Order: sequence, then C-alpha cells, then structure tokens
Amino acid sequence: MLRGELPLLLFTLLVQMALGAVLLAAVLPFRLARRGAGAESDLLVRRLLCWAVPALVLAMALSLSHLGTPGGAYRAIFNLKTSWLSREILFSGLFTLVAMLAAWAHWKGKSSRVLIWFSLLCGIVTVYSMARLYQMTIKPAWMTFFTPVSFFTAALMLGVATGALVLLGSLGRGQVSAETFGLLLGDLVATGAVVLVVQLVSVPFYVGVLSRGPRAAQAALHLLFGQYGTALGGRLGAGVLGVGVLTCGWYLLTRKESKPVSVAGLVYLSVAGIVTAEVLARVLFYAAGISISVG
Amino acid sequence: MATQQLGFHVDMSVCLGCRTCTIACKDKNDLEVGQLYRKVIEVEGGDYTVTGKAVIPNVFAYWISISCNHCAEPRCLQNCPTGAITKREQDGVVTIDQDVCIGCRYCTWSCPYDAPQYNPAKGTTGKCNLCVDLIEKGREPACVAACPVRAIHVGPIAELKKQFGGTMQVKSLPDPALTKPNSLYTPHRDAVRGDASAAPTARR
Repeated sequence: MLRGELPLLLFTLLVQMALGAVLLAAVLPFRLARRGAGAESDLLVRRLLCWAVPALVLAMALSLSHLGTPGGAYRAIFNLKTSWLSREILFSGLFTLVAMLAAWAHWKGKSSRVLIWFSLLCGIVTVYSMARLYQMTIKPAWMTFFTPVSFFTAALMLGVATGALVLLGSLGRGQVSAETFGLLLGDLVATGAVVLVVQLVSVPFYVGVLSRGPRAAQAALHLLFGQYGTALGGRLGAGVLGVGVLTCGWYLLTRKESKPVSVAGLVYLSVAGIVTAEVLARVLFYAAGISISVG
Repeated sequence: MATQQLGFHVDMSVCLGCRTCTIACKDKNDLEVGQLYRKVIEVEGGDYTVTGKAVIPNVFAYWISISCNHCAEPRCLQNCPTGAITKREQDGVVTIDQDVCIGCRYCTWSCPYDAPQYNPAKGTTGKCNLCVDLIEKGREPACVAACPVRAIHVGPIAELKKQFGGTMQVKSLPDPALTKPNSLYTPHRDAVRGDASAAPTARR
C-alpha cells in the first residue's frame, strides 16, 4: 500500500504545505499593516509564494506520475458532477495556476492581494475535496471525521514550519527587523500550539470511532498500535517536540537575553520536528487504509 | 434503472472451490498474473470442544466465487473522475471504457468487492463486464459455462431470484446496503449471516 502510493502521499503533503504558506501570505499583510512594515510584509509574502508555487508544481507532477496513462490526465475532470477526485484535480490545478499568477504579479510589483485570496480559496476547496475523496472510499480508517481534521491541521502545521523558515531566512539577510521576527514568531507559536492541541485531542476520538467500527477499522487500529506503534509514538512526539522547541525559541527571544539569530538552531529543530510529524502522520494514514472488501 | 438488470446467481452450497471459473475468466479476458476478474475466496474457521479426554473438532469451510456485482449504486462509477465507468441502460452491466480510463485506481479504493483490477502493463483498470460480447451472441459468460458443478448462473436478476432465491447477506461479504449489488448467493450452511460466533479467516 505505502510503496505504491508514495507519489500521492507526497502530493497531499505538498498541497497542504502550499495551502499553509498561501494562508500566511494572505493574512500576514494585515498583521504587519499597523506597524507600517509594508516592505517587510511584501518581502515575506513573496518568499512564502516562492515556497508555495514550486511545491504545487512538484505536487502536480507527482500526481501525474501516479497515473497509469498520464497522457489522459485532462480527462480526470470529466466527472465533476459526482467525483470528489475530479473536483480535487480541478481545484488543485486552479490553486497552482492562481498561486503562480499571484507570485508573478507580486514579482512585477503589481497588487496581488485579490489573487492571493482567490488562491487561498482554491487551496481550501482542494484540501476539502482531497479529504472527501478519501472519505468516499471503502476503507473505514479514512471514512471518519479524522481525515479532514488531519488534512487541514497538517496544512496549518506545515504553514507554521514554512513561515518559520521564511522568517529566519529573511532575518539572516537583514530583511526583517528583530521586532517583526519576534512578533510573527509569536503568532506562529500560538497557531502551532492551538493546532497541536486539536491534533492531540482528535486522536482518542479517532481511536474510539475505529474501535466501534467494522473489522477492517479494528484491524487498522491493531496496525496503528502494533506494527506502526513506534511510528505513531514518533508522530505524536515529533509534533510536540516541533511546537515545544519553537515555543522555547520564542520564549528566549521575549526574555531579550538572546539575539534572534541565536535561536536559529531551535527554529531548524522545530521545523524538522513538525515536518517529521506530518510525514509520519501521512504514512500512518495510508498504512491504516484497510479495505472492507473480501479476499 | 436498467430495463432488465442482468446479474449472477452463485450456489455456494454446491461450489467445490475448484477455481475453474477464475481460470476461464482469466483465459477469456487474457489477464496478467495477479489480476482476477472473478475470484474464489476460501473461508474457514471453527473451534473444538473437550469432552473428558476427547477433543471434538467443529470446523467449517466454504467458498465464495465473486466478480463485479454490477451494483445498482456503484461507488466506482460515482467516484471515477473520467466517466470511464458507466452502467448500461439496457441491462445494467457496469463497464469500464479502456479508451477513457487513465489508471488512477480510485475505483479500486471504491469497490467493496475488489472487482476493479489495475493492469500496470496497459495503464488502465478492467473488471468483469458479464461477458456481454458472449451474451449478445446468445452464449453464457466464460465462468458460467466452465463451472463443472453448474454453481454459477446468469440472467435477469429478477428471474434468477424467482428461480433460485438467494441473498447478498452472506457472511464475509460487505453489507449490501452500501452499493446494492445485483448478485444472488444461495449461502453455504455456515455462511448464513446471523449471530456470527467464530470470526472466519478468508484467503483468496
């Protein structure tokens, strides 16, 4: 299951990361508007789009590589009426196209705000369609509330990681002030903490749903706590580590005893933790995809 | 709603599990290794009782010959992004147009009966089409014609129901409410769905 679906696994993660980055690009100008930090805001938005666009292009290429007949990929949008996969493909294509247009407009110095918000809307619909298409299968572990929760929280978490990297990179080049860095890092920490709580709280509910489900659901549960128990522990631990380390970095900054650059190591460690957690979460998601079919 | 929905009836009470139906289907459709449009699932289980020094076994085994059930509400059709999967108006047979399929394999995630089979060499997915080419010539599907004990029958599902009775409420098969399959089984005595005591193990 896992080996055959690697392109899809990476596709979902890259699209979710792009959604997180575009969300930050959409809300960041409002956050910095009051401080009169327009130049910093422009630079950070550009950097975020520079992460989102290649991620989306790579994701689309990976989704093509998954097909048995890639030349017929255009036909994948022929059943929008009933197929969530058709809808996901249409909106992921739109998401990519509009994000590219937004990046181009931003690069040319034109107003890109409307395009970024439209891109964000396409991204949200893409991830929602993605979650629905997995829910519409015959794999009980995918048919629960946990699928959309997992996908949208992954988008937010990967957005936090991307935002932290972009901030750190900009700080290193002297393109954002220490104050802006501290302010936005605090926002990322708060977002990461809330999302982490949602992720942790949803796990016992998910286990409860699976334990009351059909045999395939119980087999999935058995796998998650048996063969994949280490990966499950690693996923939860890496998530807590990622957000915890980012919180420590932000705390050290607020104490004014350390320079922003000195927390770089903590930010990298945090990003590694968050990315590891989300990759493991997706591996576990695919591993738990046990079908109710016979044979 | 099909004018005259066609389907299969399988009499599990006489099926020997010889897999001749599987081979005939494989031959007719020229399938690659690992692809089965019709398969035979072996289900076995049981327990034992100890009376004094005697151990008395109480075991069972039965076979389920299964292919596409040409469901009334096929989830594969609903989920297929290209529209390659269609349900024929005249007989309700669910088919995959090989010229339209792009091999995304979403149908293989959607079918509770594991009917769609991906062919990596062709880059498309195929499945049982009830041998409509043979039926249109007045002949039987390959699996029906090959069965040595005449356990498989084909025809309008309403007529099969009148002739043989049967149900889809068979142990080890998914809940028929999910896709409303157009097949009928005369269950083996140990496959009648009720209060299942032992959890049977299934293998292809």
